[in-house]
Order: sequence, then C-alpha cells, then structure tokens
Amino acid sequence: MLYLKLYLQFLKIGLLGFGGGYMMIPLFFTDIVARHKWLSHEEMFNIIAVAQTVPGTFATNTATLVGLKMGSIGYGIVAVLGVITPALLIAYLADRYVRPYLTRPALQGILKGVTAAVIGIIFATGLRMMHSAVIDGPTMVTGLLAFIFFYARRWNVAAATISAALAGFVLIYFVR
Amino acid sequence: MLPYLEEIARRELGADSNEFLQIMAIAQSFPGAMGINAAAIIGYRMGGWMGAVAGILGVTVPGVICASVLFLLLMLAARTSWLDIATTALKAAVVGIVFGMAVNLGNRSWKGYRSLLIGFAALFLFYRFQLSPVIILLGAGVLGYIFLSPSEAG
Repeated sequence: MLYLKLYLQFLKIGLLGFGGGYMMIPLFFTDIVARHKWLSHEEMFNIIAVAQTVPGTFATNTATLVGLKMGSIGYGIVAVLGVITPALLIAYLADRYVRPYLTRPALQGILKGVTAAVIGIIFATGLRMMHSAVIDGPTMVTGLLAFIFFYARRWNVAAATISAALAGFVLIYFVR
Repeated sequence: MLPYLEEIARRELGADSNEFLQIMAIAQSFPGAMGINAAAIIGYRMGGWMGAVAGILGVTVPGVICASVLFLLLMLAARTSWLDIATTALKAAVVGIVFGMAVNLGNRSWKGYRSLLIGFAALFLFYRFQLSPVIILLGAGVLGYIFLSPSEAG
C-alpha cells in the first residue's frame, strides 16, 4: 500500500519537523531518498529548491512536489495530508492541554535540548548539500549571496533564493 | 505571513499581542511549519475542527497550486542547458538559505555552552555517522531535560 506508506512517512516527517519545519530537509534526504528510494538525491534536491521559490509553506510545497514526482496527484495529496496532520493535533491537544505546562522547567528543558540538536542537524545538512551544490567559484558566490540576502539583509526566503539564483545564473553562464 | 495571522487573531478572537505571542509560542515549540500550526490553532479556536482544517487549507493551498503549476511547466520544458544552469544556480542558493536558517535559529537558541555542546554533538553524529535524526532528537530531549531545565526557584 504505497498510499498508506507515503502518508505515514510524511506524518513522521511532520511530527519530527521541529525548528519551524526546517528539520524536514534532513528527513527528506534520510527517509525519502536513502530509506525508501522513492526519489534520487538529485531529484529531492531539485524539489527542495523549487519548493523554496514558490509562495506558501515549504513543508506542504515539498510534499506536493514529492508526490507529483512519484507519479500522481493522489500521491501529492496524501503526502500533504500526512505532513499537516500534526498541525491538527497541535491545534487541539497542544493548545488546550500542553499550554499550561509550556512554562514548566521540565518541558522547557526538553524543548531547549531538542532545538539545540535541530540546529546542529540543519548545519550538517547544509554541509552535505554544499558538497553536491557548491562545486566552483560561481556556485560559491551564489550560495554566499543567498546567505547574505537572507541572513544579513533579512529578505524572505523566496526573494533571497530567487535573487541569488538569478545572479548565479548570469555568473555561471558567463564564467563557465 | 505573521502580520496577517496576528490581524486575524485580533479581529476574530479579540486576542491582544500577549495572547498572540502565546499562540506563536505553541506553534513554534511543536514540530511543523510555524505558519501552519498558528493557522490551525487560530482556526480551531474560531470554529473547532472545521475551523482548523480551513485555517490549514488557507495557508497551504496557494503554495501547493503554485508548486504544482511550476512542476508541470518544468515537465513541459525541454531539457536545455539553460534549465541546467538555472537548477545549478538555484541549488547553490538553497545551500546559502539553509545555512542562514541554521545561524538564525542558532542565534536564538544556542545559549550557553550546554546547548552549544548538544548542538555540536548532533551536528557531528549526523554528519559523520549518519545517526538517525529520531535517535538524536530523543537523546537531545533527555539531555535537555537533565541539563537545560531552568531551576524551579528561577
């Protein structure tokens, strides 16, 4: 049952997607690519890149594209449903029952620990992606530009990605 | 997205800034995209389960449609060297964004040497040994409980 597998896989990714959803990038590579081999590393990376350049939320954009790439709109819908299921649980359970405990030291400690680790894992993912995407001078400049636009200039993700990619396009075209 | 969510919370729920910050704290502390979680919470408070579903659909459907259209266009486009260059540039840009995300989160959450140590341990274990993220997060939660819980006395 591919539909069920896909739903459960995206539910898992949704449940582990701490840190505003960016923890999902490493999971896409470890689970969609390495474990299930539904897509190649290259295909997954392309999808992540496209998902960041269109409006909306990264998680659901990626889920849609993974489903479409696997071959049907049905897969896309199932993947999206999986990745948004946790939000429904949060709206009901977390907002009502966990909220009073949010200031408790124990829960704060756990969340701090998880967040600290998430950052490390996202850094590691950045390093891994760098090995396959930053291959020469122009691509290095492109990556740096995106970092500067996004981090130092505080542009939003889509604007920073598209601007840097445009600059990169020109650089690669003329330098190579 | 956030200013819009705040406006809706203010108008429909009569939530003040403090109330909205609490909603955002829940949305951020739990897994998933902050925008989707916040829309689900606000929607649920406005109209129960259907409200939550409506909120989620509202923030996700536009992106899903855009992504699908772009995907279909890319499928139709012939594989030209132009497209290859564009993909190469886009991927390099994404690497910059991922590092930007990590540094942003790090500035906010890596406070003190203990959380820094947990972060670097996670980086090392994931990068070098490809340890499962589930195991790393579980371990980090336990370590956080032991070493990062603020003392009751404050």
